[in-house]
Parts: sequence; C-alpha cells; structure tokens
Amino acid sequence: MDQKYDGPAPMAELTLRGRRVTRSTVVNDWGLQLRWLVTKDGKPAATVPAPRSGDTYEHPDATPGTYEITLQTWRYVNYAKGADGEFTASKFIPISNAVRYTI
Amino acid sequence: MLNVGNVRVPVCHGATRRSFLTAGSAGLAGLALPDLFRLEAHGQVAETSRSQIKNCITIFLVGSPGHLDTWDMKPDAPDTVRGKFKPIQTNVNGVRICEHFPLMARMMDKVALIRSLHHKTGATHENGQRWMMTGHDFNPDAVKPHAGSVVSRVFGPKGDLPPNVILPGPIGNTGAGPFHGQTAGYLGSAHEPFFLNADPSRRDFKVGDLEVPTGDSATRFDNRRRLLDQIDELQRRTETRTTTAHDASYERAFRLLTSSAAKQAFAINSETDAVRDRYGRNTFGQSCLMARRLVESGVRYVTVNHFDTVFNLSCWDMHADGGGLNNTYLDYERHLCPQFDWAFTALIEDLQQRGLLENTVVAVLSEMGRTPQVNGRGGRDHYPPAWTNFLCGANIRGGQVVGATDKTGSRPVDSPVEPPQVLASIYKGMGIDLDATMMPGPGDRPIRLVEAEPIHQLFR
Repeated sequence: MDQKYDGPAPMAELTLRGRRVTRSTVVNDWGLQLRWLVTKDGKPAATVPAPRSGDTYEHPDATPGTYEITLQTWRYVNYAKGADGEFTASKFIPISNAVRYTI
Repeated sequence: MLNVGNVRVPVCHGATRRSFLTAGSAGLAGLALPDLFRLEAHGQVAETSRSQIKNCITIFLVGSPGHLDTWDMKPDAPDTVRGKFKPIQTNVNGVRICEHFPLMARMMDKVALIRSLHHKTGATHENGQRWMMTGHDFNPDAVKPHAGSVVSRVFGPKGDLPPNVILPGPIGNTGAGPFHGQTAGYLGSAHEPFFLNADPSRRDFKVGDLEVPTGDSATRFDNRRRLLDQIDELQRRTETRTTTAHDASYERAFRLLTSSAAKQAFAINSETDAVRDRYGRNTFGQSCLMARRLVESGVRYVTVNHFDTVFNLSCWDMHADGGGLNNTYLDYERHLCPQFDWAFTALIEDLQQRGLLENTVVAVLSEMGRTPQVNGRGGRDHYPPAWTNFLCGANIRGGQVVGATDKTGSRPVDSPVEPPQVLASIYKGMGIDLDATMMPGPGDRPIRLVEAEPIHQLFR
C-alpha cells in the first residue's frame, strides 16, 4: 500500500525575536522533511532544511531588505518524477504563518 | 467464512466435516502432544522461562537502504562512491551517520551498529528477507519459520494476544516470488503471525479481523462456537492424526474476537494527539506506535514492515530506473530518512520512558546493502556483500560499532557477520538460552532455534 497523506494538514506557529524565528511543535506532523522558505523583497531567496533536532532559525543574510520566513513540509502524493528527476505531484507546502522583518 | 486474523473459521452454513478438517489441518507439522510433553519434562521448554523472555520489535526496511547513504558513510571515497549526503557526528565519539538522521545521532549511545553484514546468495529482496527473518536459506520443501513464529512455538502467548504480530500487513510483491520469511512455515498454522492488515494512520482505522461480522448476534456467535466444539469432539473420536495446531488456531481466533484486552491493545485512537504526532502521522510511524502498544500489552514479537512492496512508490529501493523503481536521493532526503528518524527515535524514547526498553530488543533490519558505485542514473542497485543493520534495547550495549567495511563499503574487513548471527543475537537479547532451548525441526527432531552463535560483543 502506498502511503496517503490526506488527513488534517500539519500546522506550526512561528514567532520572531529580532531575526531569530522559532517554530512551535508541528501539529498533525506527517514526519516528512521540514524546511524554511525565505523570501527577500517578495522574491524567493533561500530554502533551508529545518531538521527536527532544532526549532529556531536565523537567516544569515543581513543585507538591507524585507525578509519573510515560513515553514514548509514535504507533502508526498506519489513518487512520480519528471525527466529532470524532480517530483511532479509531490511538493513542499506551507504549514505556518509568515513572519517578517526589515533590515 | 469468518476471518479472524489469518484463521478462516467456518460458519454454520456450508461447513462440512471435510472442509472443516481441510481448513483446520492445512499446514500442520507440529509435534505430537506426547513429544511436546516429553520436551517439557526434560526442561527444554521450562514454564518459568516463558515469563522471563523479553520482547522484540523488529523494524524491517523493505527495499533496503543504501549503507553508504545512511549508516556506513565513506566521505573520503571518490564522488562516484560516497554519494550526495554528508555524515554528521553523533553523541558517540568517532561514530558518524547520515546528516538526515539528526535525532538518531543524539541517541547513538543506545544503538549498536553492525556494519559488516553480508550474505552470499542471490541479490534479491526475498533472499535477504528470508535470511534476516528466519536465519536460514530458502528450502521450498521445509519452509523455515519467521523468528516470531519460533518464539510463538517455543514460548506461546502471554495472554489473549497472539505472540507474533506483523504490522501493518504482509510483504507483497518485491520481485522474486511469494516467500518472504514471514510465515510459520513447517511449524504450522497455530504459529502463523497475526497480520494487522490495516493502516493505523487512517482516520477510519479498525482491525477488521477483530470485528464480529455485522448482523451477527452474540447468540449466533456462541452457536457457531458450540457447533465447532461438537465437530471437534467428533474428530477427536474418529481421527488419529494430531490436531494440536488447528485446535490452537481456532482457540486463538476465538480468544481474539472476545478479548477486551486485545481490542484495547489495538485501540490506537486512545493515544493522545501529541504522542501520535511524535511518531509521525504516516503508516510507518503509527505502526511503530502500535508496536509499542502491543509489547506493552503482552505480544512477544512484533515486526513492522516499512513498506510492503518496492514497486511504484517511494521506498528505500533506489534504483533510479526511470520506471517502477524510480527512487532517488530525493526520496531519501525528503521522505524516507526524515520519516524513519522521527518514528524510530519516538519509539526508543517512548519505550524508555515507559520502562519497556530494558525488556525489549529493538532490531532494525534490511535485506542487503546497495552498490558502492552510484549507477549511471544516480541510484544504487542491490548488493548483498555488505550492509549495516542495528540493534538496541534489552541488554544490548549501545554506543558501539561491530565490524567494518573497506574504504568503499564493498566488503567486510573486520568481524564479518552473517544473518543467522543477527537472529541469534536477537534471541540472546530476549533472554533465550540457545544452548538449552530447542524447537521441533522439519522432521519433528528437536533442533536449535538458529544454527549460529550470537555476536557476543553486542552484550553487556
């Protein structure tokens, strides 16, 4: 049987202190890879693995701009991949509020 | 027919004596009762030892993780060998494992890695499954029993629950035939594993085999039981062949259906959301949680199959073939490693907090390793000459590495270990004296549980 991830979506709460983001425990945790999505001035800037061994993240880029950070989880739908080797249906999805700061 | 676990219980209509006997005696090869009593009289199945035997939870990683990408990394090897992942330091000095197991890295003081496993038979999933779960090579004339069935045969159940349970279900198609080492084999139907045959992560999860069919009243159920008892009595008076196995099968089936303890053991919905989240809301994570519940409730041997096939789904079998076996490093990074890390560490922490870890061997096993050279598609293929599995719990001494492979992970160069030795170590960890405990062989002659010595270095 292939695994189905169609129950309640995972959720986490992010809080910001300075440039340091802290996440809450993930509720309805699928147990798949977590990552931070960082945008700068509205454009994607970085995706950074968020291992469960820690719950905080501080983005190293301190150049001026408006930064927004959210937490994502991998959502597995099936294992299908395109010619480039990337998944076609499975993808990362947001599971938190967004936090913002401006440098 | 009424299905209870793996036992088909005939119902009132259509149950002939012939069909009843056929259903009940299928797979029989147990000892005659007088032989069993003789063994017990010689202390080979001592009553006191049954209560002292510890539990076992085996996690079977169907499809087989690449050892070079998980627990035996070679960061100094050429890039065609070392792969994409990097090792990280663990809480055991000098022991490093894959970066995608950060939680496991914090508890390696509890884990004994065996890095020098190998076998010399063909590179199929099934060969490895049979080796690791029965301790034997395959013989279709005398199919060897799953280790849990051995424990069931020698020590019996602790209560109403079956002594040997496999979650969430049997291994299906892994490419080379139906024998996966997860049956009672020649030991007979009384010692078949109980397969959950349900996904404990589903919101509508229930164990169908524990439900009396809709519409059946307690009266009809009791009537069937009385009818079966009458047929059984007739059989005993008219037949000479031993029917111990089928009697035990039906007795087990009825106990399961009527036992509140059994129903409670499988009631995973009674766990808090926080606990269920900690194991991971997926089939594997919830199966690990179920395994904890079952050993807590008296099941001696639980096996969790991480996947039931290798085809057309994300699993450890990373051939990267572009077709039905198209698993790659992305599957490991995003899905498999995080899922395993989260669930395995949850299980160990949970067992420890409940005081169960000292009485439970936890074994993480797989079929083989994967080729040291990354193939032309960015994957790795089957490789029995070297791989890594690990044990923890009970009196296993954690924080150690048994054996080693060469610079490219191609072959053991220190303390080579064969699969029967791992099984012998599991039995020893359970407190079984392999020199003093016998079981019936294929021809009823008593034999050792496994023809191998435990890895003595593993134990305190």
